[in-house]
Amino acid sequence: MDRQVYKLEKEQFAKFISVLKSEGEVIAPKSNGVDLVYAPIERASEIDMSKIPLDCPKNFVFPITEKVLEVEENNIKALIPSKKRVLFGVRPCDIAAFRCLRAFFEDYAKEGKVSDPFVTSKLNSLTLVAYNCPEPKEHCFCVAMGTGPAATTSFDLALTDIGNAYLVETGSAKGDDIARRLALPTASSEDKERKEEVKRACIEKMNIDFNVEGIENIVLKKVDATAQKFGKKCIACGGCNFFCPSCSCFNVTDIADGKVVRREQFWDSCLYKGFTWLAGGVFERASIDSRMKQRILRKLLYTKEHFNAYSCTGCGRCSQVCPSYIYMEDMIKDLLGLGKEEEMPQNPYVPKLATIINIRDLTSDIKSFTIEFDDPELKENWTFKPGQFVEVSAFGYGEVPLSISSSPTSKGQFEVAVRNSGKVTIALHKMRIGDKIGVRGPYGNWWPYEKVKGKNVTIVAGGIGLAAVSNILRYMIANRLDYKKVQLLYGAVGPDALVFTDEYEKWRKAGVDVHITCDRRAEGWTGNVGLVTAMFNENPAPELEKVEIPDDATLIVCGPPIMINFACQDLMRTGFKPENIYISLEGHMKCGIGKCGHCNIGTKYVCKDGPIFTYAERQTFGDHH
Amino acid sequence: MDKKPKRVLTTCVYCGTGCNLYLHVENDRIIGATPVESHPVSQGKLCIKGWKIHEFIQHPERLKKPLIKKDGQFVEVTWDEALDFVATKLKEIKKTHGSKSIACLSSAKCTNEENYVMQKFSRAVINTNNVDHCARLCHASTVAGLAAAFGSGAMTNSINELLDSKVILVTGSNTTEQHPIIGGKILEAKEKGAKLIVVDPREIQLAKFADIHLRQLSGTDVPWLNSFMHVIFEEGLEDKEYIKNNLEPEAFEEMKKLVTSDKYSPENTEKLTAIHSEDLRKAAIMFATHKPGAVVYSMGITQHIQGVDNVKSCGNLQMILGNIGVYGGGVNPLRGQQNVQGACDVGALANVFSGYQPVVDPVARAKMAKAWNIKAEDMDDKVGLTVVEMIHAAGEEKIKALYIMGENPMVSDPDINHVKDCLEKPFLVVQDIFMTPTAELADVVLPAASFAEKDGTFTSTQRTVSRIRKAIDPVGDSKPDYWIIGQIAERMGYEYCTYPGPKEIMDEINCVTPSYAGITWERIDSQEFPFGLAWPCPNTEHKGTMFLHKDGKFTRGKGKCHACEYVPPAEEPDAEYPFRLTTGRVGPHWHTGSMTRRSITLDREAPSAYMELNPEDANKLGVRKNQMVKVSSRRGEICLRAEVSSIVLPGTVFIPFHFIEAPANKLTISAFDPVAKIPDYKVCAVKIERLK
Repeated sequence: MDRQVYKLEKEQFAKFISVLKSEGEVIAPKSNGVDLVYAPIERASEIDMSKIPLDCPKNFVFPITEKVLEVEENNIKALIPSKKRVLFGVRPCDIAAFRCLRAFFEDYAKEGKVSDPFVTSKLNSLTLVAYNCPEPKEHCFCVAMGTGPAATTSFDLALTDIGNAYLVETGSAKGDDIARRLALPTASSEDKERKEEVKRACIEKMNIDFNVEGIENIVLKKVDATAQKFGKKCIACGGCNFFCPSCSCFNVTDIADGKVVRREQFWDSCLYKGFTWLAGGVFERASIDSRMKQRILRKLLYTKEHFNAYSCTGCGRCSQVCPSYIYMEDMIKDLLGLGKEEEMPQNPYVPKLATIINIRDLTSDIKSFTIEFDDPELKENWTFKPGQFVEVSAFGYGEVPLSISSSPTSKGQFEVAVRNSGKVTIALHKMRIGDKIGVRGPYGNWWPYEKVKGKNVTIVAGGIGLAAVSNILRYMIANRLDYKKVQLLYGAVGPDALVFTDEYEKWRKAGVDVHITCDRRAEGWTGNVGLVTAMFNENPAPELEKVEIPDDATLIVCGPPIMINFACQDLMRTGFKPENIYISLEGHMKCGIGKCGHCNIGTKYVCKDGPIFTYAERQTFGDHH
Repeated sequence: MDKKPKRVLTTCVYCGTGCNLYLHVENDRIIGATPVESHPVSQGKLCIKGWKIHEFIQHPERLKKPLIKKDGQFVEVTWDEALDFVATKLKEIKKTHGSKSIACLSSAKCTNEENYVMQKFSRAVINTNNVDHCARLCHASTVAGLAAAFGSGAMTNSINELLDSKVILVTGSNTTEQHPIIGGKILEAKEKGAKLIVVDPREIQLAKFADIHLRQLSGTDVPWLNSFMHVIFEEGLEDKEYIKNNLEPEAFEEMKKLVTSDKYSPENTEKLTAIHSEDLRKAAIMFATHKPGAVVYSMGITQHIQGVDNVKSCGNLQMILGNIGVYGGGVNPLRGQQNVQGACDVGALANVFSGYQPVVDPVARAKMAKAWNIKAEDMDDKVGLTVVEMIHAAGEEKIKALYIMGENPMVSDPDINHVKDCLEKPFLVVQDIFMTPTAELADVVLPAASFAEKDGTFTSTQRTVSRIRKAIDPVGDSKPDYWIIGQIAERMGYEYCTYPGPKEIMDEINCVTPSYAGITWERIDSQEFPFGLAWPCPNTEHKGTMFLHKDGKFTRGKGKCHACEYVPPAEEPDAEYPFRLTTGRVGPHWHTGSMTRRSITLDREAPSAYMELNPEDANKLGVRKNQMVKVSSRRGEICLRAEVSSIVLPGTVFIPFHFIEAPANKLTISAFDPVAKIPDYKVCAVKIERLK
């Protein structure tokens, strides 16, 4: 059929509406005081096309409740209302949805079966006047679904606002007839071009960067992951189905009211658990994932197979009505592999932005920083193992490797202890809560926290080295029952150099055998005096307690390099095997990924093969660097 | 009513979120409901109960005619006969046994206007303060606790502010199931980068999104809240400026001394609460280091014998962090019933008139007497009986007549075997929309009109007063509750409760209630405020109040901290009854089920009673998935299906209370918070036996 295109001057609009009224009750978008809703109008002036209503005109084709029949004393009265109506101002997405409804409900008629009396008869007694959208609403994506922003078929008339007139396209004999009765002049080529401009402007505003062509071929592979990810938030309200212009599932019930029995069909939702309630009390699709999967497959696969159309038309209503803010356009993009984060190979030299969210003074020259990633995905998922390190950037000053001192029990967040000994660390010390830094990592290997489960573990640490083992110490405390005896032997040059002093009691209370010492006497210090390595020697000094380390303990040692060496020698002299002594080496690490060469010792890279080695391994490296 | 199809804009009747929706009416039938796009809170959204709100309204089982019990059977009578009978009996009982032998149970499901009339009936006609309603069973702790701490016992901030909070602590609220629209906003806040901390014994849906989920033993909230504050003080994270400027110093020091004591260190409360100290520390620091932070809570905080202390502790926490009086912060109790906030506001409580003006205050009494044109000396000057006290007093025959409107204590009160014994004694009048188990016991049943059949107002949890509008005529011969009460009063010889309509009642509420003074019938039906106004709204120029205690200026002046010591629940598991029972609700159903069990789509979602049981416990008991079990407590027993799930931890079981065929409240204990008189629905001891 040749498409006829006419022009309707805006002063003629009222006349247009009166001609429409002769075709039946005219339903159009109008204001009810608070919203725009589809409702019967008497006069053209009541019509408000200023924005796209949330309200769904599906109601006039597939109503919320439909009376099917009445039975009174065995007399069955079927009720088939067929009121002639005109639906004015139907957006192209809804036009496409009505096409789906027709295809779905009409298929009864195809094979000579009885035809559906409700939806089909309503569609047949409806005059559809489409209205092409000049601009989209927040969740519109008809462009991706190929259904808009201008309607191409399945309407009687389609209007586009081209300034002081409407472009009127006819799509049926009825449409042609109406145009003739109005004696509408044909549209000029300028008028038609103007319509194309309006359409292009709308497409541009919608800014769609995806397209669903072929999605039916991949959706089965991707749907489980997508349904799980988005279904998690679903509260099964049913809104997405109810306001979807092409959804048509319904329930049927009999209501006995006195002598009369009414049978009604009413809107139902496949997102409800009870929707698949089987005899025997089992719910077929009990999990929310399975229901979200059903919805996605129906919209993008089953109807495509059934009558060659996606039944999602990109209207965006489901996204608007969802209390959990689940957006259909996001689900489709997820299926297409266009999730929020593009899967690109990461550039390993580019840090991620993070914020300093807490600063504590540990000593006069050591601060502990609590750092949290800015990116919500990282906040959610980033984690590390105890013993690993990160490369921290103070932009403009440089980057330093820092051992993570906290235990990996809260995601997206970690602590580092920093002494202000160089350009970068001095800059870090000047920073305040809320300042931004860069973080790369986590890098390196980790303390053998799994291997020593069920065993005795003794930590020997010196100075700031406690911050390189506090990660596994805290981890073991959080999982205390997984480990046997846990000991901490810790020393520093003086009491002012001890770190985490406010936590020793807490650790003791948590079941750790904590022994603290200072190398030298100091005013106000009443604790142990002597080297930490002397605590487990045969004859410790008088002001130093002797600590018994279990023979089968695994040792973890960290501190200044000299201290590590002496401690390990002493431990071996006491009888511990170097395979059971773990140390963390401080290499001069820069890139953190084994490329720049600074931390290379022999064939090993401290950043990649370490920083944690057994003392036995360390002895194979060759000379100390 | 005209026959053209129409949509009626009204407020939802289920929960306290206060969503609006359209009731679709065709040929005098309400055929469905759709959301309201421009409503500021619901924003075009509804939960399953909102979408299917129409399913109960014109149900065939609606009470259509007044009934009087004659010879143990209900007989249909005329309104005149029923109302005269009630009026005569009440007059007689008042004369013979005194005003205080009569009690009135008002309804959080009725409108503000109706609740106001009921408390006026009780106080001006009967002359007793024995008037109360089910807020007693849910948020009485909130009203008492926040009034003591801040001077005002309501949600301090507004719902939409949650979207801008940087950390939200949700405790004792299964928000995505009970206040779904609010739960959705919390999820969206998380999506936008907020931190979410959930403290709840069960692994509710919201917990799956939490940055930290702490699973405390039900009934141990004061310890973990105190431990949170212990950590905050230890880490120096309290807001010293705010404390200095806005809190009462002595009360603060006393509270600080208590919570910083060793007793409340996370390591020492760990055994009590079952929360690992490391996790608690992480959570406390996370909450304290993100601003603004909001606390959201519901029944898990309030329904305990320490309900008031739990609420005060939430108040303490937010005060020391400077989160009160700031946008996006606050203490946000989520009120359950759609109008429980309003019923409290208009004085349907045993201790206050409307606007929380105390009944024991002679100035308040004089004010009401003047407004009502009665003699102040005729008024009851003592605090009256509260909900559960009323019932027990009926059992002891101190209460001779009980007038119950829109409440179902036979399912909602604790220890219902005892409730039944009590309710069988007095002259019982029940006014409701369905024949509930409570109505079954009545001497007179009066059929009331539902929310869709009358005009009036509801007040939501964020203090917004909005309109309900009549969509259809009352079903059968039912009448609006305010009319019924007025008729009874008239037939007792008093005009005090007779009004032309709800507008005139609201006019009176505006006069006697300062916080409602500017919330007039005209203003909330206008184009300017189509969705109502939030109190305090002191005059007709005022645009309502989004959040309370702005900039730390508390309603009572300075915020008051309270030092709360832990008091264990009244009944904990022991050798004979080894499981900890906690009760609650599920999304598709509403409370005693009188509406939702009759709604075809809602009931289909959860058609039968069940109990959540941890797989380890199920194994030990030899109970299979969906097997029937008998659960008993010292009060009673019920049989129901076991849903084996790790949503509860071993040792704890959960039973929703909606199912009258296996009512959870047969098991619960009548133990109360001493101040708020709210029952402890969240902790009692039960044993479980497998049924063959």
